[in-house]
Amino acid sequence: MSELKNDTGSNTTHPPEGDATTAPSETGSSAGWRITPEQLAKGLGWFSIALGVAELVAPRATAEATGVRYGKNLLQAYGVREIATGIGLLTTRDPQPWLWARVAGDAMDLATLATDLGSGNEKRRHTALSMLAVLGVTALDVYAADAARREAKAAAAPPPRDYSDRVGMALSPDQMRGTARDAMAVSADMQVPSALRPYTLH
Amino acid sequence: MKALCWHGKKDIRYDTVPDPKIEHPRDAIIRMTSCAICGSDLHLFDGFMPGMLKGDVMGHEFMGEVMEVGPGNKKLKVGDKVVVPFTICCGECEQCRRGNFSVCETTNPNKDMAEKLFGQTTAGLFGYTHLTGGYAGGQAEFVRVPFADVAPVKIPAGLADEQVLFLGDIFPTGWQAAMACDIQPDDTVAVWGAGPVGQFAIRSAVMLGAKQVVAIDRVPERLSMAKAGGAITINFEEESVLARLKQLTKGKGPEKCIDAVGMESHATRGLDGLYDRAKQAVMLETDRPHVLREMIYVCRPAGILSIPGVYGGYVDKIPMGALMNKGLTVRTGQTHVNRWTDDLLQRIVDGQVDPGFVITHTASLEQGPEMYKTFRDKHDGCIKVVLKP
Repeated sequence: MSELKNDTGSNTTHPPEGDATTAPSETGSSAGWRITPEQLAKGLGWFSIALGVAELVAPRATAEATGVRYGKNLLQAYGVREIATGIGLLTTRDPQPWLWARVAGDAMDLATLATDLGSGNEKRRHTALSMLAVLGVTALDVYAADAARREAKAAAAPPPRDYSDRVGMALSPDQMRGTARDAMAVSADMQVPSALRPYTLH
Repeated sequence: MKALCWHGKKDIRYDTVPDPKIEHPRDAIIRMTSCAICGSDLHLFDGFMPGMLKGDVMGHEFMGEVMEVGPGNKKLKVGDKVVVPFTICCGECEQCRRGNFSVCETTNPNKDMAEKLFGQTTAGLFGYTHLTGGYAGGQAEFVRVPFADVAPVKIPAGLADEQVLFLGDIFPTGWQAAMACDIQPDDTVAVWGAGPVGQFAIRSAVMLGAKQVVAIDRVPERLSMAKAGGAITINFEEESVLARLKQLTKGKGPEKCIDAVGMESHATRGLDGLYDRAKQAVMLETDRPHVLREMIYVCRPAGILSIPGVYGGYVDKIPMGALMNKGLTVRTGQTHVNRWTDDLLQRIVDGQVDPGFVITHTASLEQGPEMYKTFRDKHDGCIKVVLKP
């Protein structure tokens, strides 16, 4: 077996800074409104703490609002869990395990709510709506965990190879521009119908 | 002999297979000296193209030395160094006489199969499904070249394999894609996909005189190489393709759009990418046409869509209303390789172009199976793999 090699040659040239060809778009970029995985994880951390405090401090009001009939001890225990997860998310450098912990917590919440959907519960409509809300939050948690995983993977990847010296032409692109226009004449079937030409020229 | 053989989805093996023999007086046997993995080989690797059988020899980008020539072949002689175009053509049928070599009416022995899928037959291709003839491919130590008195390109002494290997496919493919755009001096040419074909399309568009060329991809290495070739780059994971193209064309859209991606396009935004993946997963759609949709939407009215990217079957939700009302011209097809090889070989000899710029990895044929994965996953900055026997 011959040795595997990467033909990167001497491609150590760095692209010139401030080159117009890679300048970020002012109108096209969506970076202004995009939420980063870190921001999303922190947001979910604060959400966890807020929900946890509500469950811990006002378990009866929370039960009323969500349509569950369990005792205050269970809700308070869930509140402690939410606060712990929230603190974990706000303090960690790697939010992935905490986000997956939130997903597991969501599963517990859904299982708990599901046991309360029976006909004996007068507020089961409330309970069903709560389950829908938890499902939505679960989707967000899974998305955030996956985004954090992808970001960690990208950060761990080696820096991209620099092929900025691979011109492939004898001179610079600007110097080569139009040097093969003579070739166009030989393929009439590749040319735009003459009726369309004036438009395409201007 | 040894060869890379298809054994199923994501299963390429380095196998021992029978040596090829002269089967027709016009045949030649080539000892492969260099071959490459093409992006369209990945469609077979990923199981998106129908018509493959276990044990089929892969590969349609190859060159080598003539080892044996059939008695009816007056063009080649033993010892000639040749690049073999991926399209097999007879040189005599009506389409070949018109220069439409990739739709040769003679060289596909499985015409019935092709006619069922495509309506009419197209040319036989090396190593590219039984729909196109089931010919053994060039990722092998030896290759039988049918109709070898027509397509093979004799290479003058003094040129390295790396300079001329891509005359067999990706250089003419990128060139034809740009030629099909009928580039005018004021044109903006947008190229989706900065893989090997996209890289050649970029350089071809520059040499044919486009005012600006824009490359759209998400792989930093590809964008780096595209920029080296003169393209303005758009990373579609970081910014809106539509908004940036509008910005670069004063709101009007590019006059010419090239799809150098084909059936396995990726989309990070919008619902159509998810929609295509779901439909593909349940076999309600064979190809993912995100790039086609985007090109139709952004192309300037009366512009041209040039499609060298390979599609295999059926696509969904193509905005025909936009295509029709904007009066767009669509040009596509496998490459008529021999139409361009004389001119492009001369440009290589003259030193205008060195196609070897695109090679990022060289390995042995035996390492082919792992290089398929490296190439597909774009690991290690991989853009183009050349294999040696």
